[in-house]
Amino acid sequence: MAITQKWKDTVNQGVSDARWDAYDELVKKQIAAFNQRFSSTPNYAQVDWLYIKAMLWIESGGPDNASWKTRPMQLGNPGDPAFSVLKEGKEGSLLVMEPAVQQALKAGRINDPEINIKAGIAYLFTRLAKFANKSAPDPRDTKVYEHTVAKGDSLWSIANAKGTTLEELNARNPGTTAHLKPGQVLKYTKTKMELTIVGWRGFTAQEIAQRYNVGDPDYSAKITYLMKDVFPKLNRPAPDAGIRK
Amino acid sequence: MTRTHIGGLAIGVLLCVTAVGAASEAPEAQLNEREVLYAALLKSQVLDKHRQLVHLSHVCNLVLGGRRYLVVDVMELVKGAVTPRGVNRIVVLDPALAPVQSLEYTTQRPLFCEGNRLFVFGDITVGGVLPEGNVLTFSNDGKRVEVSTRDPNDLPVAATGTRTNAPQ
Repeated sequence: MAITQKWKDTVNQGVSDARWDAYDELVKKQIAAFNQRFSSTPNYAQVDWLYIKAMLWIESGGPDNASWKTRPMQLGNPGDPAFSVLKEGKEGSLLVMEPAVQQALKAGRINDPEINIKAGIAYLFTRLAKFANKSAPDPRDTKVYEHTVAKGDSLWSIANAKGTTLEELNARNPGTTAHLKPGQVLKYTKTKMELTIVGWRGFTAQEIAQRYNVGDPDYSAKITYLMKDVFPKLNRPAPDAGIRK
Repeated sequence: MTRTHIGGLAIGVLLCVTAVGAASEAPEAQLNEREVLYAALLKSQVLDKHRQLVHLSHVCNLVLGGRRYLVVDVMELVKGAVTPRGVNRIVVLDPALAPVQSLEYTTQRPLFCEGNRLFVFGDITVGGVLPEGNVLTFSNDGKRVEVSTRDPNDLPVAATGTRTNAPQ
């Protein structure tokens, strides 16, 4: 499929209409905060805020569309799973989203455009994060315990009974856990499985289209069109209105 | 492409009918099965009335504990948005057509079943949590799923279109 001329005509209005920049500062601030916050996570590359600006234009259709002042990122439309994912903190979103955003969603403020944009960004980052369950030590109890293997014990039953994990038992007792024998002593600390961000998918037009949108076969092409053909041409009267600050 | 009108919704359904074998075996194919599946998915609220169903197909049957579980491919669009958002899922139904598993996918596709395994085109995760892989192994009446990876060149090929795996 190809992007329609009608769609291009719509977004091309943004070249000379500064109203399309209404949320720039909010988006820049959010992305700067996310870039700082996740910079220490594995495989994180700084995200260009213009991707979000492009999504905002695509999702909302611009300032002449009613959704611009309510749900510019289109989160919260009936049947939209993203809203419930964030509201209920599912799919790892709690590791990404600011608590205040979740509280706002629970309070029914999805039609507040600022909340909608923040939620959209949180959902995008949730979709592009790679999550895995990792064994994590209990910070309140760092003591090393011992367990003497009894007849019928398995690693799984020991881990369950002692509040630890298979990974911890294997790591702390290397080479001795493959065949348990009664009387054998295993060391462990209290650990539990925790959802962790272990990497990121690339913040590219294609990944954003596949992971965030899914439904529009032209989504990736639309982002690319905006990034390459529209945003470089933005004509704004104020000298500080350049978009690549 | 076959267009089927069900419950007031125009549903574009890509019907992949694999060769069942000789012409005399054709009656095994239940031509109204998508209506049955649609009703079951609607009743169990797998389908959302606010979304538009754009694809529904019965991919294959898993065999778990000697019983057949249906693997269904469901694609929906969130209605009313300027740009449609898609919701794609692989849904596993038990023999009574109650959903036991719903796995989200994006660009991947469910391919075929072999025993308790579903082979997928592309790598998917369960609930967005790694590992990701192209082989889903089901147990515990379909409620448990393990993900593993197999080189696409090594995928079994005999499972597609056989009598035991063709849509019943």
